[in-house]
Amino acid sequence: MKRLTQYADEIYRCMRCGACQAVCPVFAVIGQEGSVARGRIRLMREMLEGKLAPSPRLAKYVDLCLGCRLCVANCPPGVNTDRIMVAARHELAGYLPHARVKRLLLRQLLRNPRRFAAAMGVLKLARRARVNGLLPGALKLREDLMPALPAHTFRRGWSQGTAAIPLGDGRRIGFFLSCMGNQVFPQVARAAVRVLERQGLEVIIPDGVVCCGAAHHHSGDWQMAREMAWRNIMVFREAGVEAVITDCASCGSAMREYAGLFAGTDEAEEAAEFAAKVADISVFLVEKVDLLTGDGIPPVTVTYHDACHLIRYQGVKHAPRQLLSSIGGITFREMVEADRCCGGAGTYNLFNYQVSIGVLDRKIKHLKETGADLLATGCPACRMQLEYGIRRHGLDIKVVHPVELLALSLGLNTEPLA
Amino acid sequence: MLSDNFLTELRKIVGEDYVLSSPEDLVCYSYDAVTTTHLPDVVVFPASAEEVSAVLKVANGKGIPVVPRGGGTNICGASVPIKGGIVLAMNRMNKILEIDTENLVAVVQPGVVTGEFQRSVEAHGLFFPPDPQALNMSTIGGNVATNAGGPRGFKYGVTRDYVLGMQVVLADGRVMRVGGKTIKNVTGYDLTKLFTGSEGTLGVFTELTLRLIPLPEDKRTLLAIFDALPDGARAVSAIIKAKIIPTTLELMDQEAMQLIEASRPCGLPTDAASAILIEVDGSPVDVPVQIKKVAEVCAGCGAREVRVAATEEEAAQLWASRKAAFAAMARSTPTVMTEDITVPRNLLPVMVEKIKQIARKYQLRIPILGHTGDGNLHPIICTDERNAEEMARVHVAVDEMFREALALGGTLSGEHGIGLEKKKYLEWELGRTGVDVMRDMKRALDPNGILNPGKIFLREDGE
Repeated sequence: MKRLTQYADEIYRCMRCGACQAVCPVFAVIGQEGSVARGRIRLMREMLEGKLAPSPRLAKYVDLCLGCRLCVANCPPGVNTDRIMVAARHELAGYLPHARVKRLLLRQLLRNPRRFAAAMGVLKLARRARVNGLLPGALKLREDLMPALPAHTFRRGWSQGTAAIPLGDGRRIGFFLSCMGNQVFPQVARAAVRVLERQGLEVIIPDGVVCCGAAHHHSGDWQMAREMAWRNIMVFREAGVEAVITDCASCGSAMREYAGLFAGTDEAEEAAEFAAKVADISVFLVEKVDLLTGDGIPPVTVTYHDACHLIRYQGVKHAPRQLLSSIGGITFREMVEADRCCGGAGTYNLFNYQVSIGVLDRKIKHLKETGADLLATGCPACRMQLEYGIRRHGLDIKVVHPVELLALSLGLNTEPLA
Repeated sequence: MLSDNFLTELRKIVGEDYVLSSPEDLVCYSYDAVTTTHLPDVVVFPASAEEVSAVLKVANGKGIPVVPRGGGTNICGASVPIKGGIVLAMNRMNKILEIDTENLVAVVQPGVVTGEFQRSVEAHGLFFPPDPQALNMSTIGGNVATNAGGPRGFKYGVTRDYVLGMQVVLADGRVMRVGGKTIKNVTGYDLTKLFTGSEGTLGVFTELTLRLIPLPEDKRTLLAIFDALPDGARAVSAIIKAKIIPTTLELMDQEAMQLIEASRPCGLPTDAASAILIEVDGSPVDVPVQIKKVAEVCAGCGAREVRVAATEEEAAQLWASRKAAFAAMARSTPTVMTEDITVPRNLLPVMVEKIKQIARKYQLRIPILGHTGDGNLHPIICTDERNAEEMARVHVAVDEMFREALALGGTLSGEHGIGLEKKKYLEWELGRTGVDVMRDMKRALDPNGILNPGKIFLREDGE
């Protein structure tokens, strides 16, 4: 119980006021105390005090936490339930539902970019041959969560260095190519890199990067998360860049928290130095460059969904909105509860499908009310979930990353919006 | 421990999925917002009055305790199943059945979250004023059961003033309707009022008929800062004498302001004795006149500064300080205990001074928030429940506070309830006869003592 014991004081700090009930998306669906921070924290307290033994049910309640931090933001004493749940997953690893499947996914698939590519290839093949329709009901539902996959990955379609001509003041930045950016949404990564280059920056996209380790850390697998984090830190150190930019909310938040991953070790300083260089692309564009926005785009109404990993993990709220509002032709319309979790939460939707859909439906209702043509968001996992929700409700709304619209405005988007 | 047969019976009534009895689930229903906890034997989630009635019938037959639960957010221990038994979690019954815009009433199930209900009626231009701090997670049923108040109490009254009728299931499972959609109703005893504030000890609400009023069109806020506490109190009296009834008159004492500024700077003066946050509402014609008058009165009573919000954003900024108060206190200490003694309005500065003396005497940190319009004070004891020696001092200090409040003609609880936390003091305020009459009523309605046992009264029958 070492990891959990570290949080003992914080666990005692929960005053059971129930403020988490007002905001927890899972509680709104399930309506039972075990599925809200107050209950989970109490369960951890009883486990620490030895009054409750670790059990599958305990693990299930821990597992049902989205990690969205809505409760943390609303908590009077400021209990970091998300971190406590990460520690709890570590302690309860053997009891977690789907523990073996998840471990396999994380340790074998996500750890190695080549294996991940191969898995995506199999899915594409299955869809082309239409054998995916033969999957049993529950699995088919989960396969439906995956978006249409691109013909080529980012890496295959991109030749390094063609446009990387140092312009202006010769600033050199690194671009962290996420698993999702490479495999699922390469058009976003392309738009991001082109936009950065147009701002006069030299963009390095190092070859040796691996998964950011977010999923491993969230599932309580510290060792694996550290291993991958260290590899990324080394790769970017070699690249000698002033900043590490990402178009992925989750990768960004994971990398900005690398220091915490190495707390108390010899690598902590190096990790902190790296973490300080990491920036979400919207923040970097709005704060660190004299932004060129181009000629604008045809008139369109856009709304924005705050990814948990941007708004509450990185405190990014205004930059993406500012970016969108600075593009000519866009009418920006805020949606109700824009900062409420969509229920995607990495692989949460795969393993807790029903709850995830309950959370998603509320988001889609608010989206529909805006009457927007486009929904912008800075997180590929949210995007998959939101696209699924839009298909599910038969709506005609496209999901985009803010930089895709900026690329369009700058005349850089050679491909139409999805 | 309940028998398997009994659990099977409960499952038959509400369905397999709505009976929880694992140790993990019992832990999750062993608490509310007080520190005392106790495990129930089972948690049941009924979906209708019929199901509530059936559960009560079988429980009554076997003498098994039943504790109705809404949001579980109260701070008097009303939802803690101190004698075990069944927790009856009412949050599946969460429908707004009707918003009647012609009669200005709403009919709701008890599990509706108060804040959601307020937003729903406000969409019709209507207003349900009771605003307890927990309104975004507490339920209407829980608010009626504890007769919850809130900052708007002085102008708009408390939950009791908005309950017109109810459907309630009695301990033996009989279903009763009292009151209704009419404002006037003197048919027999006022049972609606009796059940309101009964903390789940007399019956279980399954439907509530609530009074609504038109939503005020406009409001304005100001913050008045005083160097001496009695000046603030004089200002409050002077405002009321000037025939203005503000919506809220929220007091923050110096210690509260210092804590807020340390945790989330809002520009409060940490060297002033107190600040009062005043909001007025009404028609767009009235409101500017009211706020101007309030500002003048405050200045005339020696306010060293009066900040009037010109815009909604400025008003939100002024409110931000008051809203940050509870979090600031919670973050400053492992345990906070919020009391809610209430005294006649004109004696509020006297009571504040008494609380400060008590805090000094027992070396405790007790910042004070309060609703000055209705004399309702929240001394917030910042302590650590794991420190037995300090907790002993806390208990003596609380005893003393209550004694002082009663001596001033006040009451133990303005808006939180008695529950577990204050039952020891009940007789101090009501006297032997008062307590006996209440216990007689309890005995008449719940002869087997199954409904929320161990609450309000120090001794149960047979103890």
